[in-house]
Amino acid sequence: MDLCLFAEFSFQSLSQYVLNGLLMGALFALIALGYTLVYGIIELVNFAHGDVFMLGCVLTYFLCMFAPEYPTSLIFIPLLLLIVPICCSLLNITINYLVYRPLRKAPRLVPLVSALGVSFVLINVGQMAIGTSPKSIQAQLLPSETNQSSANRETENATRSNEASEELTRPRRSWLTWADILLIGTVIPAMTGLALLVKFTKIGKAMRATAQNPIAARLMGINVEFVIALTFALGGIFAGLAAVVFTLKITTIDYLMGYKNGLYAFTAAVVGGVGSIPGAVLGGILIGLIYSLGAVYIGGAWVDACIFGTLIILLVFRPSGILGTRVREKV
Amino acid sequence: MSQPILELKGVHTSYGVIEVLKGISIKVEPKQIVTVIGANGAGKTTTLMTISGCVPIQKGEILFNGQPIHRTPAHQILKMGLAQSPEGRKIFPRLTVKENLEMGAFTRNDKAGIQQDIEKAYHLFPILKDRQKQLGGTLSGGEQQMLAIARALMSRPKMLLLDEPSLGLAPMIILKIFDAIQELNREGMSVLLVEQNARLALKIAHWGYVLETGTVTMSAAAQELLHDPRVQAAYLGE
Amino acid sequence: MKYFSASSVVAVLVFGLLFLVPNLPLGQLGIPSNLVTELLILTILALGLNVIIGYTGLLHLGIAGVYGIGTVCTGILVTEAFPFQQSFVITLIISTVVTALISMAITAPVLRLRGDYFALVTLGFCEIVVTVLKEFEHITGGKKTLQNLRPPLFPEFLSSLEQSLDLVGKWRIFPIFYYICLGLLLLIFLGLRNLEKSRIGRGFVAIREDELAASAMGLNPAKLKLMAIGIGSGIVGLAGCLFAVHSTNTTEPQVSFTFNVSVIILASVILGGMGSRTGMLVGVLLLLGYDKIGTRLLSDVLSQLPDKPYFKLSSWRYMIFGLVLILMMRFRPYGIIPEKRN
Repeated sequence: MDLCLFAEFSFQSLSQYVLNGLLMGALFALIALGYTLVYGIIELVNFAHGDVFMLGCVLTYFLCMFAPEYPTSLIFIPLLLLIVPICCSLLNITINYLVYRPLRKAPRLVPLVSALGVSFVLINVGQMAIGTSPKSIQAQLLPSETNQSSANRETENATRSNEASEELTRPRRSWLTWADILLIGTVIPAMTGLALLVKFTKIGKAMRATAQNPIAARLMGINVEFVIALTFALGGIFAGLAAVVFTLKITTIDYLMGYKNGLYAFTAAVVGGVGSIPGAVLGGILIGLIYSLGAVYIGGAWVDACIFGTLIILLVFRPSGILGTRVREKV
Repeated sequence: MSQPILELKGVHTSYGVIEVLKGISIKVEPKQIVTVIGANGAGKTTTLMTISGCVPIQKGEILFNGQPIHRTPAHQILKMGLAQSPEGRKIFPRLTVKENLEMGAFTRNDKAGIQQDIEKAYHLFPILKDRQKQLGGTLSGGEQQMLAIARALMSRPKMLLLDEPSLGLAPMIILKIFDAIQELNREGMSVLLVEQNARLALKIAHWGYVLETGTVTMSAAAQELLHDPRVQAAYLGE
Repeated sequence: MKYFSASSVVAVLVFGLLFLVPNLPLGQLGIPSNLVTELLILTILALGLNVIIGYTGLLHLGIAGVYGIGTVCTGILVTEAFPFQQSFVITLIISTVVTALISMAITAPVLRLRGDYFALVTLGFCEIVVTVLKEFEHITGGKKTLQNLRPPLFPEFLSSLEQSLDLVGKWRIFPIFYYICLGLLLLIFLGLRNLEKSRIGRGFVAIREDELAASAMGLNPAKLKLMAIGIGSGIVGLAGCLFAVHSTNTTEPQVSFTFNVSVIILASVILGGMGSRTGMLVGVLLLLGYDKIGTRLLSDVLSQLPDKPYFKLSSWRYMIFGLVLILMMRFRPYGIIPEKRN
């Protein structure tokens, strides 16, 4: 069987890559949810979202400096999962309030350019915080497996977090690390929680109504600005959760990681259908698979091009994505 | 005479640099149907949107039950008892009929009362009950209009604002809807009806205003307007 | 009379000042002369972006990629590694045209997209271009870059002219190259001025203000947009050529042609106000001038302060550009909001 030229084919490693892809996909999906929620409600591509994620990773990194080693760290991890998402959430709410809210009535490109500006500001903050070279967390928060720590050390020597994709491609002795289990244990409740919130709660229905027709929502007595702020808050929470899990899994962060991962996540949102929550999940998984399998079978450098190519093709031919959302009713 | 339930005094509204409403004054007495008729672009929808707080006012006053509401945010105006069935219905397309109605009751907390009112809505517009689990976007124009009005009623408003309920609908449906409006009015609902179909509107209204490019050019009892030659020429197609 | 409008006066002043710059004691002021030339090259680059955004109303976030194409194209035509080895004048023309054509070809299919989608697609293009430039090393030099770009000024049959004017080798360095860049900038500036006054120019204004109305008037928005992309990209390609010759090598794609660079140029264009050539000129010179030269001057002063990152001006780079974007959009978004312009 001649499937590819770049890597030795073995069923075991293929399934490992697929598994890695699904795990990364879950991460992308978490971040993608932030993009899709905000876009669904105010039709803004929030360029800054990826950098909020990055700052969440930076915060996690700093908090880990105070982390106790395993097994005491097991108390610390829930603390991380509480503090970082809340901080990211507050950051997101603040950005919305200061930058986007005054521009509600402006043409679409104006808040878009502002979002670019916010992204740059956040990147600068990240750069001030951790400098221009990647940083790795030293603490062993999770039970170390021989593979995990040697992977850590080698990741430290890698120059950019892109090269973390090489870490993904290295065959693992064990299928799931503890970081992966944490990932699954975080992502699934988070997404389920969101789905339940949006479908069954009053505020969730208000969010859906506002996304479908903001003027009508106002006429129902819904405080649309509050709903928008809540959406940003939720997006921030997901960015924060993704940040904790990502940092504990990949263990290396750098100040530009928000840009790349943000674009992957946004592509995921578009693939699945921007504005659609299950779409973000589906898209995340697909992009994760492309990311993982692509790194192995077509070489890390072209993975980027592949994913961006996917974004372009989708935007040109099927902007509504797979689980297509209708275009908002024209006012 | 008691105070009007709704009063606009010298209201100016602009979209950007373009002034759409140039100092209009309108009064609705309690339990009246008042209609504002005029051509496209006269400013009818802007008037209702300004009242509901969705469009900011530049100059003038709006009083609801004597209370100034022109600086009040839209979601609070609804809570005060002023509901609108907007231009183009603006149904929530991916919520079911029932959920649309529930959205209308968003500001309420009394589950039992809300259920009661949903049943009342089904009584007023029986077709909605048949379609209660269908998504709003799949309804026909007439059904959507009924849903929009029923949805507006869900907040138990003291006054209803209706923006062109007849637009794009078949005559049979229009009659049904206008019958319903009259029934609501008989039960005590005050109504401000904005319409392009001047004849129908003037037939069911007590008082009428004619709006032309942002100014009120005529104000009289509906029956008078119906028989006024100028109105007949311009709006009644005679 | 319109001829002496405020912006004309400012433009004349600016060009006058620029003309005098080589007479300043740059060395004493601590300003490396190559930075001044680089500033001019970036101004030309920004002018190209201004054409695209100003004439089409489309947000092109991939302009750095187009710049890269121009640079590498020049590199290929000039470097000793390839048999072309053209002169500067020929290379300039070819690079401009080739960049314009490639950019038009790539962008044509996506011109009908909505503003924010178009922006994202150009972003994607930028990244793909960077990857292509990086990976196809045997053509583009990739990370190793194409080296030793030192072409003659004129093609062979004019080489005696070059010698008699004593330009051999000297034309590439300060101050002659500075004047060449300044001359090109002036030419392009005046060319655009005439273009804007022409019928085509008014067509551009029409499609930016209201595309639907413009097509009703018989204009072809798609064709006009493509033309604008072509002209703008050509100018950017020209800037790329100047950049390559000035640096004597192409630079690492992932450093010089990334999205971040696109945004930086965008910020400078926005600061000056789009659609206004003179405003943009001032804005670019101010912002990029500050970024390249001002920081250098100020950091000498600031080196007195303790060695913390937040005291170093270079640490604030991103923030400054970011704030420019945020504040301009908040308070002076003219240019992106056509109806606010008169």
